[in-house]
Amino acid sequence: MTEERARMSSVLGATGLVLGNVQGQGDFEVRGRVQGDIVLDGRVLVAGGGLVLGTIEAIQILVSGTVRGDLIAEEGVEITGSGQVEGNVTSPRVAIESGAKVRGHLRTGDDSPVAVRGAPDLRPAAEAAPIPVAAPPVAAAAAPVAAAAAAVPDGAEQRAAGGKKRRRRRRGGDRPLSVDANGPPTDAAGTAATHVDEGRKDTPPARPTRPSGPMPRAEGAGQVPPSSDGRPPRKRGKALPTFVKGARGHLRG
Amino acid sequence: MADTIISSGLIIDGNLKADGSVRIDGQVLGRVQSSAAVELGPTSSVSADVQGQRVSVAGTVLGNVQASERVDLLSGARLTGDVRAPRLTIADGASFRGKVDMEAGHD
Repeated sequence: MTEERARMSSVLGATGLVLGNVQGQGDFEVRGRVQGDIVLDGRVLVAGGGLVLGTIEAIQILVSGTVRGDLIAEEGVEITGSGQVEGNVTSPRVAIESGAKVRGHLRTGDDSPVAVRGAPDLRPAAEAAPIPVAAPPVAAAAAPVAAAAAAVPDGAEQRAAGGKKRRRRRRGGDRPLSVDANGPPTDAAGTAATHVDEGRKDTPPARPTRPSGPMPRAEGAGQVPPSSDGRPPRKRGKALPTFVKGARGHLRG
Repeated sequence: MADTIISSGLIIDGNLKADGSVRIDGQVLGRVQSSAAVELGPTSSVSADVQGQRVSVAGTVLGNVQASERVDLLSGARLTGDVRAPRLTIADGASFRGKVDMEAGHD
């Protein structure tokens, strides 16, 4: 730590308060409070008890204290277990220790705006020789993205179409589709999962089967009759009216 | 070692306030206020008032300097502003342009 502190050329003491922006070069350790942005060509350490109300832009950022603002680091961001961050974190590498509190968007990897500057230099060099080889993975990577993007409108269309079909089918009196009519709640849940495209594909088929509870019963009722002759008709008569009444009542209401 | 250190290369575009000692080798474009010692190094530059218990200036200050104990203008210091402190020393090679008020009882 002595070496570390020796490198931390600038220190804002625990009682220190900066009202304004901090910029320049060198490392900066914040044990006190900074109300303003920090833009530094160096490392920024927000020590335990330190508080920064503003954006931090630096090469490396280490947070053990509290930051209310965005973190943008050229190399890496580390948030220790005692660290609290309310803001977006953008850096090629981000480490968050257990116990840390982070509220905001995390953007890591080469697609981060900071890293993009260096990326073109690295990628062409690596892909220059194996251009054909490098191309497929890119296309392959793009494909799922396109598929995912395509899946979104499809899902929306299917919903809209599904709504129309339901009405038609209800009129037709098909039970399996009337089961879909019980689906609206699933749609509501499905919209909540809009961010997960694949999950949405999976959920619709899975959920219809659950609400189709009435259907399995109907099927079960159909299967039961062979075993016992007298009971099936009763079950059918009882089961259907209740579901139909309930469903129609909700739909009409 | 001072509680707060603003090293050369660092620029604070605003005010700096601390209860502990402050050492500045960088640049402060605002007031510096401390209830303890304030050390302004040779490479420092403060473009507003400086206030502390003891203030030693070796860099450039464009503003008033006030201390409850003493002010020391070291060699190489360039102060444009008034000094208000019970004790004041001005070293050979220091540049000072302003008024001095050493009357006890203020502050």
